Amino acid sequence: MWPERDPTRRDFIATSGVALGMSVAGCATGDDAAGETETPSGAAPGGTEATPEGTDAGRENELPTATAQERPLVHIPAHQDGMRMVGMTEVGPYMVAMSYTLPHDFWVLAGQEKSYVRINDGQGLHLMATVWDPEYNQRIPLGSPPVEVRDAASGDSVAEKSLWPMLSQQMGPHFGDNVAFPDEGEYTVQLSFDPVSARQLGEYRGRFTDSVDAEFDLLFRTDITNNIRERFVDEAGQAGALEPMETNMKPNGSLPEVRALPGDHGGIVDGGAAKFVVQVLRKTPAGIDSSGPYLAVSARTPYNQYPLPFMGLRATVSSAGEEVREPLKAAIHPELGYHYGAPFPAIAMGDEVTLEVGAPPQIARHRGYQTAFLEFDDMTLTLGEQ
Amino acid sequence: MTDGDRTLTRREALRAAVAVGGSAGLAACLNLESQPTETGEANRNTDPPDGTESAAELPNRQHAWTEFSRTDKHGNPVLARHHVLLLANYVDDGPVDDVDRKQAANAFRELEETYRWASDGLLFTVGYSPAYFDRYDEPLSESVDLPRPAALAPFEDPSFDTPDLLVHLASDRASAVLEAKQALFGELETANGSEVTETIDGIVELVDRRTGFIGPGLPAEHDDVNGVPDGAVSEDAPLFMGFKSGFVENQATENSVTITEGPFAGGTTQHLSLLRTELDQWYNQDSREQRVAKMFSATHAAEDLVEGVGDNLGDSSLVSETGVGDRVSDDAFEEGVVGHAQKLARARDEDGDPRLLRRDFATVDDGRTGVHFLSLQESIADFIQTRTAMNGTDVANVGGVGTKNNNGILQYITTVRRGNYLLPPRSKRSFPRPS
Ligand code: HEM
Repeated sequence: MWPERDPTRRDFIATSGVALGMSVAGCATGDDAAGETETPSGAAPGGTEATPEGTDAGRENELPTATAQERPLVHIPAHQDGMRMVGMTEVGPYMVAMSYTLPHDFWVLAGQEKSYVRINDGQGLHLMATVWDPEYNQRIPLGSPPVEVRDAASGDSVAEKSLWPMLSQQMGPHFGDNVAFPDEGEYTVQLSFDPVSARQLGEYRGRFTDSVDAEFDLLFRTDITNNIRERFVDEAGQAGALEPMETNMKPNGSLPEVRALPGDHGGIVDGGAAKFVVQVLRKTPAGIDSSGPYLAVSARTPYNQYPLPFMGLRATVSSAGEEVREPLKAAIHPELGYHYGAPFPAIAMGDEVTLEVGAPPQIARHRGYQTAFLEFDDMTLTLGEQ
Repeated sequence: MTDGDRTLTRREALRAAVAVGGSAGLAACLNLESQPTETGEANRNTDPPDGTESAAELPNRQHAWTEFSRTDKHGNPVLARHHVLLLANYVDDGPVDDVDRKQAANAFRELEETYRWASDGLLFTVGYSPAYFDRYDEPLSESVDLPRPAALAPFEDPSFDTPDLLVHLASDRASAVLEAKQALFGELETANGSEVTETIDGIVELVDRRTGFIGPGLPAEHDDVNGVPDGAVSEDAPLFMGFKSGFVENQATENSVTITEGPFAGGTTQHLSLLRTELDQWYNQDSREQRVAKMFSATHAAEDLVEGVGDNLGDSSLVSETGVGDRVSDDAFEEGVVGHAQKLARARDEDGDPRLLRRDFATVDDGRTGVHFLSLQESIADFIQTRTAMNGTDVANVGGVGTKNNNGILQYITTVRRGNYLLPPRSKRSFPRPS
């Protein structure tokens, strides 16, 4: 547990005028360089507070001074919050965990255009839904699940919106947004999941095709939210990422290790700060009408190995002077997890593969990821040469 | 007029009066309309124009509104500002008898005699649902495509409206839509200065009443309802999402939506859905450029084609002129976003013309923002085909686009209700037989 003297957010704001000033400036300008008082979510199993180990965080911390220009594309954010679990439930083919933290700022993308979402005044929470397949423990990072928050007593709707697909260093891929709560009290949170639009392959074939709902009871009390702890991270601004948080959610959001991926390993290329792990499966998985080999690209964040969904990815494969250029489609598979792939009937080790990115991953970014995965040069590798 | 502790502007009060309805609403309206006007509302301190004496002067198409409406400076027809939708059931089971048919015909006719057939008088249509036609032994003529309402996307779960009839009242005058409803249901002795003698009272039962508005200024004045970010809706926005819609080049014509054969030649079909809109993300989280990309296309955003609410576009959204309708899949892959108008431009007919004549308007019914999406088309199949183009399922796994993510405006709208109706020609407006 955190030492007693660790500040809560309120505590912190009350005692640290400098940091507050910085924070407000960051929110108001939306400038990457400003607002180094970042608040990615921290976490905790079963509704207790975050328990980062060996940290002596708090008000004595120096404020980080790195600017956006000097900062590595993927960097450690300046501070983190705890998280509270609301509940976990199995619905249809999914496990769904509902949790929250303090309101967060983040960036939403449409094409290359980023829009900075500041924290609104007033009381609220950053609601998060984490969704995975409990059989193979793969996160399902796709969708914009509609959420409706109602006052439990009156039934009045407090918020109705579609959650953004998001990526944060500690929570990995999840769905979230800030929601304002008018009063303390009991609320019900209803989430709906639309059929998954990505290809469903292998054992996943036809599995995620129905719409399902999940409901949670949420108690909103400021004495609880005020106790969601926050700490500064000494390494803020440096290359790296906060560790995936330890929770009782089974998969932590990371994709399978490279050596655990099925098929022959073709190599890894880097681009836009992301890693592209290239695999060739001798047989295209069930769910795609082809019996030839299948090129799978597992696009992931460095450090935490999170998937990068909603990207336009294309491969050109040259074998024996013949070039085939095909878009790779997003797909989910029990062993590959979320990936991009397409059958290439003639592909073989020794072939040259060039990957081109069209749209960068259109997933909303929490701090530490906002400058990464946006611009990609073409990437080339020879299969099996690494 | 005040609303609690707040003073309402005149326009706001008029809109509020339509929502309240009833005699209180009407009295408030008439009172307001007799006061000197500010902008926007056409001059209402003259008496409303009289009705049309001779039925022969009126077109046989109930939906012939365009030539009786204002046009803006670009030649786009301007939809009347205030709307009331009345969903009602015939009181008996089985076929409608001729006495009732005659009574309703007289009531509708009397409305025309009371108000001028024009957007500054009263325009209205009467439509009939598939449920209505079920009461007859004979099936509905095959020349009409009128299926029961259905869910039209894998991600929607609407309720279905199944009243027998839907009356749509429209006018630039808030008082006219209110008063006309009351006249029709026999709640008034006089309307627009003439005696009310014919009503549908006793033969139909009202099951729902919905209201709405469209036009510069009206949405901004209703940003006090739940979910509208303060001051976010621009003063000149005609609809809550902030853009002008209904350009003449992007609408079907009254001609092209008209049924040409069979007993209902001269009629059309009507789809009415209720869409809830989520404006907090739209205004507080998306940037202007993202809104333009999602509503129109990435090209519209990159080339800055849309100024303000889009009045600069003139008489066309430029989806054909820019060719963006042919780049939906490419844009999903390369740009990571596809626009609403861009996707819908793929749903054109063989001649390259839109299939729908949209007459949708904004609402704050139940204290939340939404759209009564009302459209006319020759067949409901035209609507389904158009809505399918909007679903963008074909690009839901292409590049940056998901089921809703960056897929036009799907993320911000939820379909709550759907209903289908036949608008018979005027001559068969009162309880038509199926063939
Ligand atoms: C909140 C709901 C909606 C809003 C705010 C909205 C707004 C717009 C706007 C701004 C345009 C471009 C301007 C224009 O062409 O008039 C447009 C075009 C269009 N919209 Fe919508 N729309 C909505 C829902 C729908 C729905 C439900 C449909 C029917 C399925 C639809 C069908 C169309 C069509 C057919 C076009 C013209 C496409 C073409 O040029 O061929 N819209 N809409």
